[in-house]
Amino acid sequence: MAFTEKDLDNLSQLARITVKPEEKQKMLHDMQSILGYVSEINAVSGSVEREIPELRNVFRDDIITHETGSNTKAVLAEAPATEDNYVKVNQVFK
Amino acid sequence: MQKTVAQLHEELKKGTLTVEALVLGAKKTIKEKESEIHALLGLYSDTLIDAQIKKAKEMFANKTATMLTGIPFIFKDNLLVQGELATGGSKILENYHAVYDGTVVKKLKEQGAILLGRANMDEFAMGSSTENSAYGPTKNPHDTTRVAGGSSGGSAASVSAGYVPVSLGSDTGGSIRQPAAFCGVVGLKTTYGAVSRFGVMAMGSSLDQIGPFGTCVDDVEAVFDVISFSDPLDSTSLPENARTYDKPLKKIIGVPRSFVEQKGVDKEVLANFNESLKNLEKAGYTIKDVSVNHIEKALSVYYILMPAEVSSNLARYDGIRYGLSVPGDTSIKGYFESRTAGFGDEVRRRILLGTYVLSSGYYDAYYNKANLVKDMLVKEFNRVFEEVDVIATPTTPTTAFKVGEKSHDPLSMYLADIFTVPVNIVGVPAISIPTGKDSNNLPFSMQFIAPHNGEKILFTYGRALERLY
Repeated sequence: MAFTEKDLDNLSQLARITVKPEEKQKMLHDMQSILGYVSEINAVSGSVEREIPELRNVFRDDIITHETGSNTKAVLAEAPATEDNYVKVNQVFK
Repeated sequence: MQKTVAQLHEELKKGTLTVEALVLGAKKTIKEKESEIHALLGLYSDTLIDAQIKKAKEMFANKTATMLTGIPFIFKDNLLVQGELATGGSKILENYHAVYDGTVVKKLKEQGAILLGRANMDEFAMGSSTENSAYGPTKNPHDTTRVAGGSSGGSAASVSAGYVPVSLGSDTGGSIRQPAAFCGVVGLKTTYGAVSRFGVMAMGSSLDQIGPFGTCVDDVEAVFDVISFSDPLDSTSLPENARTYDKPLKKIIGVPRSFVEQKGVDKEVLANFNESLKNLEKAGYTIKDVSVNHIEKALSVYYILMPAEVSSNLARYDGIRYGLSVPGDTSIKGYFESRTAGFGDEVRRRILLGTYVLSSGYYDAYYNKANLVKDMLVKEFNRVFEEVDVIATPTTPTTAFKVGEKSHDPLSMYLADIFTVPVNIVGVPAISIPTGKDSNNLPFSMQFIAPHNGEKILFTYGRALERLY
Protein backbone atom coordinates (compact mmCIF):
# COMPACT_ATOMS: atom_id res chain seq x y z
CA MET A 1 0.00 0.00 0.00
CA ALA A 2 2.49 2.60 -1.16
CA PHE A 3 1.32 6.13 -0.60
CA THR A 4 1.93 8.11 -3.79
CA GLU A 5 1.91 11.72 -4.87
CA LYS A 6 -1.32 10.97 -6.70
CA ASP A 7 -2.89 9.83 -3.41
CA LEU A 8 -1.79 13.08 -1.81
CA ASP A 9 -3.34 15.18 -4.59
CA ASN A 10 -6.55 13.21 -4.37
CA LEU A 11 -6.77 13.55 -0.57
CA SER A 12 -6.10 17.26 -0.60
CA GLN A 13 -9.02 17.67 -2.98
CA LEU A 14 -11.27 15.60 -0.72
CA ALA A 15 -10.18 17.41 2.45
CA ARG A 16 -10.36 20.88 0.86
CA ILE A 17 -6.75 21.61 1.72
CA THR A 18 -4.12 22.81 -0.70
CA VAL A 19 -0.65 21.30 -0.45
CA LYS A 20 1.65 23.76 -2.19
CA PRO A 21 4.16 22.35 -4.72
CA GLU A 22 7.12 23.27 -2.49
CA GLU A 23 5.54 21.42 0.48
CA LYS A 24 4.71 18.24 -1.40
CA GLN A 25 7.88 16.22 -0.90
CA LYS A 26 7.98 16.82 2.86
CA MET A 27 4.27 16.06 3.27
CA LEU A 28 4.61 12.93 1.15
CA HIS A 29 7.57 11.76 3.22
CA ASP A 30 5.75 12.42 6.53
CA MET A 31 2.61 10.62 5.39
CA GLN A 32 4.62 7.62 4.18
CA SER A 33 6.55 7.39 7.43
CA ILE A 34 3.42 7.68 9.62
CA LEU A 35 1.42 5.20 7.51
CA GLY A 36 4.42 2.86 7.53
CA TYR A 37 4.45 2.97 11.31
CA VAL A 38 0.72 2.49 11.89
CA SER A 39 0.52 -0.35 9.35
CA GLU A 40 1.98 -2.59 12.07
CA ILE A 41 -1.56 -3.12 13.33
CA ASN A 42 -2.16 -5.34 10.32
CA ALA A 43 -0.02 -7.92 12.10
CA VAL A 44 -2.71 -8.27 14.77
CA SER A 45 -5.11 -11.07 14.00
CA GLY A 46 -8.09 -12.52 15.77
CA SER A 47 -11.42 -11.16 16.79
CA VAL A 48 -13.04 -9.93 19.92
CA GLU A 49 -16.58 -10.25 21.04
CA ARG A 50 -17.93 -6.73 21.22
CA GLU A 51 -19.55 -5.96 24.52
CA ILE A 52 -22.41 -3.55 24.82
CA PRO A 53 -20.64 -0.33 25.68
CA GLU A 54 -21.40 1.36 28.97
CA LEU A 55 -21.70 4.69 27.24
CA ARG A 56 -25.03 5.38 25.60
CA ASN A 57 -26.15 8.26 23.52
CA VAL A 58 -28.34 10.56 25.51
CA PHE A 59 -31.22 12.13 23.71
CA ARG A 60 -33.52 14.89 24.82
CA ASP A 61 -37.05 15.53 23.69
CA ASP A 62 -37.22 17.49 20.48
CA ILE A 63 -38.63 20.63 22.00
CA ILE A 64 -37.65 24.25 21.62
CA THR A 65 -35.38 25.16 24.54
CA HIS A 66 -34.88 28.84 23.89
CA GLU A 67 -36.64 31.75 22.32
CA THR A 68 -36.31 31.98 18.55
CA GLY A 69 -33.69 34.54 17.61
CA SER A 70 -32.22 34.87 21.09
CA ASN A 71 -28.73 33.79 19.94
CA THR A 72 -28.91 35.05 16.36
CA LYS A 73 -27.08 38.32 16.92
CA ALA A 74 -24.17 36.78 18.83
CA VAL A 75 -23.78 33.93 16.35
CA LEU A 76 -23.96 36.14 13.27
CA ALA A 77 -21.44 38.55 14.80
CA GLU A 78 -18.82 35.82 14.31
CA ALA A 79 -19.67 35.21 10.65
CA PRO A 80 -17.24 36.70 8.12
CA ALA A 81 -20.02 38.14 5.93
CA THR A 82 -23.70 38.66 6.62
CA GLU A 83 -26.68 40.38 5.05
CA ASP A 84 -29.83 41.03 7.03
CA ASN A 85 -30.11 37.95 9.23
CA TYR A 86 -28.28 35.65 6.83
CA VAL A 87 -24.74 34.38 6.44
CA LYS A 88 -23.53 35.60 3.09
CA VAL A 89 -21.54 33.28 0.81
CA ASN A 90 -19.96 33.48 -2.57
CA GLN A 91 -21.81 32.01 -5.52
CA VAL A 92 -21.44 28.25 -5.70
CA PHE A 93 -21.19 27.87 -9.48
CA LYS A 94 -19.57 30.17 -11.92
CA MET B 1 6.71 26.57 47.63
CA GLN B 2 3.38 27.56 46.10
CA LYS B 3 0.32 27.64 48.28
CA THR B 4 -2.27 24.95 47.73
CA VAL B 5 -5.95 25.52 47.02
CA ALA B 6 -6.83 24.38 50.55
CA GLN B 7 -4.34 26.83 52.10
CA LEU B 8 -5.60 29.70 49.96
CA HIS B 9 -9.18 28.80 50.80
CA GLU B 10 -8.43 28.95 54.54
CA GLU B 11 -6.75 32.34 54.20
CA LEU B 12 -9.58 33.73 52.10
CA LYS B 13 -12.11 32.42 54.59
CA LYS B 14 -10.28 33.89 57.58
CA GLY B 15 -9.80 37.16 55.74
CA THR B 16 -6.00 37.16 56.04
CA LEU B 17 -6.00 37.20 52.23
CA THR B 18 -8.43 39.00 49.96
CA VAL B 19 -9.57 37.80 46.55
CA GLU B 20 -8.27 41.03 44.98
CA ALA B 21 -4.83 40.56 46.51
CA LEU B 22 -4.70 36.97 45.30
CA VAL B 23 -5.63 37.98 41.74
CA LEU B 24 -3.23 40.92 41.80
CA GLY B 25 -0.44 38.61 42.95
CA ALA B 26 -1.18 36.19 40.11
CA LYS B 27 -1.16 39.04 37.58
CA LYS B 28 2.18 40.26 38.99
CA THR B 29 3.79 36.84 38.63
CA ILE B 30 2.47 36.61 35.07
CA LYS B 31 3.91 40.03 34.24
CA GLU B 32 7.32 39.03 35.63
CA LYS B 33 7.64 35.68 33.90
CA GLU B 34 5.42 35.63 30.86
CA SER B 35 7.86 37.17 28.35
CA GLU B 36 10.19 34.26 29.04
CA ILE B 37 7.66 31.42 29.27
CA HIS B 38 4.75 32.36 26.99
CA ALA B 39 2.27 30.11 28.75
CA LEU B 40 -0.66 32.38 27.91
CA LEU B 41 -2.44 33.65 24.83
CA GLY B 42 -4.02 36.44 26.84
CA LEU B 43 -5.95 37.33 29.97
CA TYR B 44 -9.75 37.30 30.04
CA SER B 45 -11.46 40.68 29.92
CA ASP B 46 -11.39 42.89 33.02
CA THR B 47 -15.19 42.83 32.92
CA LEU B 48 -15.20 39.07 33.43
CA ILE B 49 -12.38 39.03 36.00
CA ASP B 50 -13.96 41.86 38.01
CA ALA B 51 -17.39 40.22 37.90
CA GLN B 52 -15.92 36.98 39.26
CA ILE B 53 -13.99 38.82 42.01
CA LYS B 54 -17.23 40.54 43.03
CA LYS B 55 -19.07 37.22 43.02
CA ALA B 56 -16.36 35.52 45.08
CA LYS B 57 -16.38 38.29 47.68
CA GLU B 58 -20.15 38.05 48.01
CA MET B 59 -19.91 34.28 48.45
CA PHE B 60 -17.37 34.69 51.25
CA ALA B 61 -19.50 37.41 52.82
CA ASN B 62 -22.70 35.36 52.84
CA LYS B 63 -20.89 32.11 53.71
CA THR B 64 -21.73 30.24 50.51
CA ALA B 65 -18.08 30.08 49.43
CA THR B 66 -16.77 26.68 48.32
CA MET B 67 -13.22 25.36 47.99
CA LEU B 68 -12.74 26.94 44.55
CA THR B 69 -14.32 30.34 45.32
CA GLY B 70 -11.81 33.12 44.62
CA ILE B 71 -9.21 30.67 43.25
CA PRO B 72 -7.59 31.92 40.01
CA PHE B 73 -7.70 29.52 37.04
CA ILE B 74 -6.04 29.36 33.66
CA PHE B 75 -8.06 27.56 30.94
CA LYS B 76 -6.68 25.88 27.87
CA ASP B 77 -7.73 28.01 24.92
CA ASN B 78 -10.04 25.33 23.51
CA LEU B 79 -12.61 25.99 26.27
CA LEU B 80 -15.39 28.38 25.41
CA VAL B 81 -16.05 31.34 27.71
CA GLN B 82 -18.93 33.50 26.54
CA GLY B 83 -17.87 36.75 24.88
CA GLU B 84 -14.14 35.97 25.27
CA LEU B 85 -11.58 35.06 22.63
CA ALA B 86 -11.10 31.31 22.09
CA THR B 87 -8.48 30.52 19.44
CA GLY B 88 -7.69 26.83 19.95
CA GLY B 89 -4.09 27.89 19.27
CA SER B 90 -5.05 28.32 15.61
CA LYS B 91 -4.91 31.21 13.15
CA ILE B 92 -8.26 30.12 11.80
CA LEU B 93 -9.90 31.29 15.07
CA GLU B 94 -7.61 34.25 15.72
CA ASN B 95 -10.50 36.67 16.24
CA TYR B 96 -13.19 34.23 17.33
CA HIS B 97 -15.28 35.09 20.39
CA ALA B 98 -17.16 32.26 22.06
CA VAL B 99 -20.91 32.60 21.85
CA TYR B 100 -21.69 30.56 24.97
CA ASP B 101 -20.10 29.10 28.12
CA GLY B 102 -18.95 25.48 28.15
CA THR B 103 -20.51 23.37 30.93
CA VAL B 104 -17.29 23.22 32.96
CA VAL B 105 -16.76 26.96 32.49
CA LYS B 106 -20.28 27.68 33.65
CA LYS B 107 -19.80 25.47 36.70
CA LEU B 108 -16.57 27.18 37.74
CA LYS B 109 -18.15 30.61 37.22
CA GLU B 110 -20.98 29.56 39.55
CA GLN B 111 -18.43 28.49 42.15
CA GLY B 112 -16.92 31.98 42.11
CA ALA B 113 -13.62 30.83 40.63
CA ILE B 114 -11.57 33.58 38.97
CA LEU B 115 -11.18 32.92 35.24
CA LEU B 116 -7.85 34.63 34.70
CA GLY B 117 -6.43 33.75 31.32
CA ARG B 118 -6.21 31.56 28.25
CA ALA B 119 -3.41 28.99 28.03
CA ASN B 120 -1.25 28.45 24.98
CA MET B 121 -1.67 25.07 23.27
CA ASP B 122 -0.72 23.14 20.17
CA GLU B 123 -3.11 24.08 17.38
CA PHE B 124 -6.44 22.37 18.10
CA ALA B 125 -4.60 20.24 20.70
CA MET B 126 -2.50 18.47 18.06
CA GLY B 127 1.02 18.11 19.33
CA SER B 128 3.25 17.11 22.23
CA SER B 129 5.32 20.24 22.77
CA THR B 130 3.09 23.33 22.22
CA GLU B 131 5.42 24.13 19.30
CA ASN B 132 2.44 23.67 16.95
CA SER B 133 0.70 26.71 18.44
CA ALA B 134 0.16 29.35 15.77
CA TYR B 135 1.25 31.84 18.43
CA GLY B 136 4.69 30.44 19.27
CA PRO B 137 5.88 27.75 21.70
CA THR B 138 5.53 27.71 25.49
CA LYS B 139 8.87 27.28 27.28
CA ASN B 140 9.47 24.95 30.18
CA PRO B 141 9.68 26.91 33.46
CA HIS B 142 12.45 24.53 34.66
CA ASP B 143 14.61 25.28 31.60
CA THR B 144 13.44 27.75 28.98
CA THR B 145 15.51 26.11 26.23
CA ARG B 146 13.16 23.13 26.57
CA VAL B 147 9.52 22.53 25.69
CA ALA B 148 6.71 22.53 28.24
CA GLY B 149 5.16 19.49 26.57
CA GLY B 150 1.76 19.50 24.96
CA SER B 151 -0.73 19.94 23.84
CA SER B 152 -1.79 21.60 27.14
CA GLY B 153 1.69 23.10 27.58
CA GLY B 154 0.41 26.52 28.61
CA SER B 155 -1.86 25.08 31.31
CA ALA B 156 1.00 23.00 32.77
CA ALA B 157 3.53 25.83 32.62
CA SER B 158 1.05 28.27 34.25
CA VAL B 159 0.92 26.08 37.35
CA SER B 160 4.61 25.20 37.27
CA ALA B 161 5.64 28.87 36.98
CA GLY B 162 3.37 29.81 39.88
CA TYR B 163 0.86 31.93 37.94
CA VAL B 164 -2.08 30.01 39.39
CA PRO B 165 -2.52 27.04 41.76
CA VAL B 166 -4.70 25.12 39.28
CA SER B 167 -5.57 25.08 35.59
CA LEU B 168 -7.61 23.11 33.09
CA GLY B 169 -6.43 21.27 30.00
CA SER B 170 -7.69 18.58 27.68
CA ASP B 171 -6.19 15.16 27.06
CA THR B 172 -6.74 13.21 23.83
CA GLY B 173 -3.55 11.11 23.84
CA GLY B 174 -1.57 12.48 26.78
CA SER B 175 -2.06 16.22 26.41
CA ILE B 176 -2.51 16.74 30.16
CA ARG B 177 -0.19 14.10 31.63
CA GLN B 178 2.78 14.63 29.31
CA PRO B 179 3.09 18.42 29.86
CA ALA B 180 2.40 17.88 33.59
CA ALA B 181 5.36 15.46 33.62
CA PHE B 182 7.63 17.83 31.70
CA CYS B 183 6.72 20.77 33.96
CA GLY B 184 6.82 18.85 37.26
CA VAL B 185 3.16 19.25 38.26
CA VAL B 186 0.26 16.85 38.85
CA GLY B 187 -2.07 16.26 35.88
CA LEU B 188 -5.22 14.15 35.68
CA LYS B 189 -6.82 12.56 32.62
CA THR B 190 -10.36 11.75 33.66
CA THR B 191 -12.50 8.72 32.76
CA TYR B 192 -14.10 9.04 29.32
CA GLY B 193 -17.54 10.49 30.05
CA ALA B 194 -16.66 11.86 33.49
CA VAL B 195 -16.39 15.55 32.58
CA SER B 196 -18.71 17.30 30.13
CA ARG B 197 -17.18 18.39 26.84
CA PHE B 198 -19.97 20.77 25.95
CA GLY B 199 -18.19 23.96 24.94
CA VAL B 200 -14.81 22.37 24.23
CA MET B 201 -13.39 22.37 20.70
CA ALA B 202 -13.59 18.78 19.50
CA MET B 203 -10.48 16.98 18.29
CA GLY B 204 -10.86 13.20 18.64
CA SER B 205 -14.33 12.84 20.10
CA SER B 206 -13.95 9.22 21.20
CA LEU B 207 -10.79 10.16 23.13
CA ASP B 208 -10.99 13.80 24.35
CA GLN B 209 -11.40 14.53 28.05
CA ILE B 210 -10.98 17.65 30.19
CA GLY B 211 -8.92 17.47 33.36
CA PRO B 212 -7.10 19.58 35.95
CA PHE B 213 -3.47 20.46 36.68
CA GLY B 214 -2.24 21.35 40.18
CA THR B 215 0.83 21.41 42.37
CA CYS B 216 -0.48 18.51 44.47
CA VAL B 217 -2.98 15.64 44.29
CA ASP B 218 -5.37 17.32 46.77
CA ASP B 219 -5.79 20.35 44.48
CA VAL B 220 -6.39 18.20 41.42
CA GLU B 221 -8.97 16.22 43.38
CA ALA B 222 -10.70 19.40 44.56
CA VAL B 223 -11.16 20.53 40.96
CA PHE B 224 -12.16 17.06 39.75
CA ASP B 225 -14.88 16.83 42.41
CA VAL B 226 -16.44 20.04 41.09
CA ILE B 227 -16.19 19.46 37.33
CA SER B 228 -17.27 15.82 37.13
CA PHE B 229 -21.02 15.43 36.92
CA SER B 230 -23.57 14.23 34.42
CA ASP B 231 -24.47 16.76 31.74
CA PRO B 232 -27.45 16.42 29.37
CA LEU B 233 -25.66 18.72 26.91
CA ASP B 234 -22.92 16.13 26.29
CA SER B 235 -24.27 12.92 24.78
CA THR B 236 -21.24 10.94 26.03
CA SER B 237 -21.55 12.17 29.63
CA LEU B 238 -21.86 9.26 32.07
CA PRO B 239 -25.14 9.16 34.00
CA GLU B 240 -24.80 9.76 37.77
CA ASN B 241 -25.56 6.11 38.57
CA ALA B 242 -22.69 4.89 36.34
CA ARG B 243 -19.94 6.83 38.07
CA THR B 244 -19.17 4.73 41.10
CA TYR B 245 -16.28 2.42 41.75
CA ASP B 246 -16.66 0.37 44.88
CA LYS B 247 -14.25 -2.55 44.69
CA PRO B 248 -11.93 -2.72 47.73
CA LEU B 249 -8.27 -1.84 47.20
CA LYS B 250 -5.77 -4.68 46.92
CA LYS B 251 -2.66 -2.51 47.34
CA ILE B 252 -1.17 -4.16 44.23
CA ILE B 253 0.52 -2.18 41.45
CA GLY B 254 0.81 -3.76 38.00
CA VAL B 255 3.88 -3.01 35.87
CA PRO B 256 3.82 -3.90 32.14
CA ARG B 257 7.55 -4.57 32.27
CA SER B 258 8.39 -5.24 28.60
CA PHE B 259 6.33 -2.23 27.50
CA VAL B 260 8.05 0.05 30.01
CA GLU B 261 11.53 -1.19 29.15
CA GLN B 262 11.19 -0.78 25.39
CA LYS B 263 13.74 0.86 23.13
CA GLY B 264 13.80 4.65 23.30
CA VAL B 265 13.08 4.92 27.01
CA ASP B 266 15.76 6.99 28.72
CA LYS B 267 17.99 5.12 31.23
CA GLU B 268 17.61 7.77 33.91
CA VAL B 269 13.83 7.69 33.49
CA LEU B 270 13.82 3.91 33.96
CA ALA B 271 16.09 4.09 37.00
CA ASN B 272 13.84 6.72 38.59
CA PHE B 273 10.75 4.63 37.78
CA ASN B 274 12.25 1.54 39.42
CA GLU B 275 13.33 3.54 42.45
CA SER B 276 9.79 4.91 42.83
CA LEU B 277 8.42 1.36 42.68
CA LYS B 278 10.89 0.26 45.37
CA ASN B 279 9.82 3.13 47.58
CA LEU B 280 6.18 2.22 47.09
CA GLU B 281 7.03 -1.36 47.99
CA LYS B 282 8.62 -0.13 51.22
CA ALA B 283 5.46 1.84 51.87
CA GLY B 284 3.47 -1.40 51.83
CA TYR B 285 2.41 -1.86 48.20
CA THR B 286 2.99 -5.05 46.20
CA ILE B 287 4.56 -4.70 42.76
CA LYS B 288 3.44 -7.26 40.21
CA ASP B 289 4.68 -7.68 36.65
CA VAL B 290 1.77 -7.85 34.21
CA SER B 291 1.51 -8.23 30.48
CA VAL B 292 -1.08 -6.30 28.52
CA ASN B 293 -1.34 -7.88 25.07
CA HIS B 294 -1.17 -5.46 22.13
CA ILE B 295 -0.37 -2.44 24.35
CA GLU B 296 2.63 -1.70 22.12
CA LYS B 297 0.16 -1.24 19.24
CA ALA B 298 -1.78 1.50 21.03
CA LEU B 299 0.14 4.35 19.41
CA SER B 300 -0.68 2.99 15.94
CA VAL B 301 -4.33 2.58 16.88
CA TYR B 302 -4.27 6.17 18.11
CA TYR B 303 -2.73 7.57 14.93
CA ILE B 304 -5.52 5.96 12.93
CA LEU B 305 -8.60 6.67 15.06
CA MET B 306 -7.62 10.19 16.13
CA PRO B 307 -6.86 11.59 12.63
CA ALA B 308 -10.06 9.95 11.35
CA GLU B 309 -12.03 11.90 13.96
CA VAL B 310 -9.96 15.04 13.38
CA SER B 311 -10.73 15.02 9.67
CA SER B 312 -14.45 14.90 10.46
CA ASN B 313 -14.42 17.35 13.39
CA LEU B 314 -12.37 19.98 11.60
CA ALA B 315 -14.60 19.95 8.54
CA ARG B 316 -16.58 22.63 10.39
CA TYR B 317 -13.89 25.24 9.73
CA ASP B 318 -15.19 26.34 6.38
CA GLY B 319 -14.54 30.08 6.42
CA ILE B 320 -18.26 30.72 6.14
CA ARG B 321 -19.91 30.68 9.55
CA TYR B 322 -17.04 31.88 11.77
CA GLY B 323 -13.29 32.20 11.85
CA LEU B 324 -10.80 33.15 9.18
CA SER B 325 -12.30 33.60 5.74
CA VAL B 326 -10.26 33.98 2.57
CA PRO B 327 -12.73 34.43 -0.25
CA GLY B 328 -12.10 32.53 -3.49
CA ASP B 329 -13.92 33.39 -6.67
CA THR B 330 -16.37 30.57 -5.94
CA SER B 331 -17.54 29.05 -2.65
CA ILE B 332 -15.56 25.87 -3.12
CA LYS B 333 -12.35 27.78 -3.72
CA GLY B 334 -13.09 29.74 -0.56
CA TYR B 335 -12.95 26.49 1.43
CA PHE B 336 -9.51 25.69 0.04
CA GLU B 337 -8.18 29.20 0.57
CA SER B 338 -9.52 29.59 4.11
CA ARG B 339 -8.47 26.14 5.36
CA THR B 340 -5.05 26.33 3.74
CA ALA B 341 -4.37 29.80 5.19
CA GLY B 342 -5.87 29.01 8.60
CA PHE B 343 -4.47 25.57 9.46
CA GLY B 344 -0.86 24.84 10.38
CA ASP B 345 1.23 21.92 9.10
CA GLU B 346 0.37 19.35 11.78
CA VAL B 347 -3.36 20.00 11.53
CA ARG B 348 -3.29 19.68 7.75
CA ARG B 349 -1.21 16.51 8.04
CA ARG B 350 -3.70 14.92 10.42
CA ILE B 351 -6.71 15.94 8.34
CA LEU B 352 -5.10 14.34 5.27
CA LEU B 353 -4.15 11.24 7.25
CA GLY B 354 -7.69 10.93 8.60
CA THR B 355 -9.18 11.39 5.16
CA TYR B 356 -6.90 8.59 3.92
CA VAL B 357 -7.71 6.01 6.62
CA LEU B 358 -11.42 6.65 6.13
CA SER B 359 -11.30 6.42 2.34
CA SER B 360 -13.14 3.45 0.87
CA GLY B 361 -10.09 1.49 -0.27
CA TYR B 362 -8.31 1.67 3.10
CA TYR B 363 -11.15 1.81 5.61
CA ASP B 364 -10.94 -1.88 6.49
CA ALA B 365 -7.17 -2.06 6.63
CA TYR B 366 -6.81 0.94 8.93
CA TYR B 367 -9.95 2.22 10.60
CA ASN B 368 -11.74 -1.07 11.19
CA LYS B 369 -8.56 -2.84 12.20
CA ALA B 370 -7.73 -0.06 14.67
CA ASN B 371 -11.17 -0.39 16.22
CA LEU B 372 -10.66 -4.13 16.59
CA VAL B 373 -7.35 -3.62 18.39
CA LYS B 374 -9.01 -0.95 20.53
CA ASP B 375 -11.65 -3.48 21.64
CA MET B 376 -8.91 -6.00 22.38
CA LEU B 377 -7.08 -3.45 24.50
CA VAL B 378 -10.21 -2.64 26.51
CA LYS B 379 -10.59 -6.36 27.28
CA GLU B 380 -6.93 -6.67 28.21
CA PHE B 381 -7.03 -3.74 30.61
CA ASN B 382 -10.19 -5.08 32.24
CA ARG B 383 -8.48 -8.46 32.68
CA VAL B 384 -5.39 -6.92 34.28
CA PHE B 385 -7.50 -4.75 36.59
CA GLU B 386 -8.96 -7.94 38.07
CA GLU B 387 -5.53 -8.50 39.63
CA VAL B 388 -4.22 -5.01 40.37
CA ASP B 389 -5.54 -1.62 41.55
CA VAL B 390 -3.45 0.43 39.17
CA ILE B 391 -1.01 0.01 36.30
CA ALA B 392 2.16 2.07 36.62
CA THR B 393 4.47 3.38 33.88
CA PRO B 394 6.75 6.38 33.58
CA THR B 395 4.53 9.18 32.18
CA THR B 396 7.00 9.92 29.40
CA PRO B 397 9.94 8.02 27.85
CA THR B 398 12.27 11.01 28.41
CA THR B 399 12.27 14.23 30.42
CA ALA B 400 11.52 17.52 28.59
CA PHE B 401 13.27 17.77 25.23
CA LYS B 402 14.80 20.84 23.61
CA VAL B 403 12.72 23.35 21.67
CA GLY B 404 13.08 22.41 17.99
CA GLU B 405 14.50 18.95 18.73
CA LYS B 406 11.55 16.99 17.32
CA SER B 407 9.53 19.58 15.43
CA HIS B 408 10.90 18.52 12.02
CA ASP B 409 9.95 14.85 12.44
CA PRO B 410 6.30 14.17 13.33
CA LEU B 411 6.80 10.48 14.08
CA SER B 412 9.51 11.13 16.68
CA MET B 413 7.17 13.68 18.29
CA TYR B 414 4.34 11.11 18.38
CA LEU B 415 6.59 8.69 20.28
CA ALA B 416 6.70 11.15 23.21
CA ASP B 417 3.17 9.94 24.01
CA ILE B 418 3.92 6.22 23.92
CA PHE B 419 2.94 5.65 27.60
CA THR B 420 -0.03 8.00 27.75
CA VAL B 421 -1.90 7.06 24.56
CA PRO B 422 -3.16 3.57 25.62
CA VAL B 423 -5.17 5.22 28.42
CA ASN B 424 -7.26 7.28 25.99
CA ILE B 425 -7.81 4.30 23.70
CA VAL B 426 -9.27 2.35 26.63
CA GLY B 427 -11.07 5.37 28.15
CA VAL B 428 -9.76 4.87 31.68
CA PRO B 429 -8.44 7.61 34.01
CA ALA B 430 -4.76 8.22 34.73
CA ILE B 431 -2.67 10.64 36.77
CA SER B 432 0.87 11.92 36.41
CA ILE B 433 2.83 12.51 39.63
CA PRO B 434 6.28 14.20 39.82
CA THR B 435 9.00 11.89 41.15
CA GLY B 436 12.14 13.99 41.51
CA LYS B 437 14.57 15.42 38.97
CA ASP B 438 17.17 14.13 36.52
CA SER B 439 20.83 15.14 36.13
CA ASN B 440 19.74 18.20 34.12
CA ASN B 441 17.40 19.22 36.94
CA LEU B 442 14.33 18.34 34.87
CA PRO B 443 11.27 16.70 36.47
CA PHE B 444 10.62 12.94 36.33
CA SER B 445 7.08 11.59 36.59
CA MET B 446 5.17 8.39 37.19
CA GLN B 447 1.80 7.58 35.66
CA PHE B 448 -0.86 5.56 37.49
CA ILE B 449 -3.70 4.14 35.41
CA ALA B 450 -6.93 3.00 37.12
CA PRO B 451 -10.09 1.23 35.92
CA HIS B 452 -13.06 3.25 34.60
CA ASN B 453 -14.34 5.66 37.29
CA GLY B 454 -11.30 4.88 39.44
CA GLU B 455 -10.21 8.50 39.96
CA LYS B 456 -10.34 8.08 43.74
CA ILE B 457 -7.90 5.17 43.47
CA LEU B 458 -5.57 7.47 41.56
CA PHE B 459 -5.78 10.10 44.29
CA THR B 460 -5.00 7.51 46.97
CA TYR B 461 -2.01 6.16 45.05
CA GLY B 462 -0.98 9.66 43.98
CA ARG B 463 -0.84 10.85 47.57
CA ALA B 464 1.12 7.77 48.61
CA LEU B 465 3.72 8.48 45.92
CA GLU B 466 3.71 12.24 46.54
CA ARG B 467 4.68 11.65 50.17
CA LEU B 468 7.87 9.90 49.02
CA TYR B 469 9.17 12.97 47.09
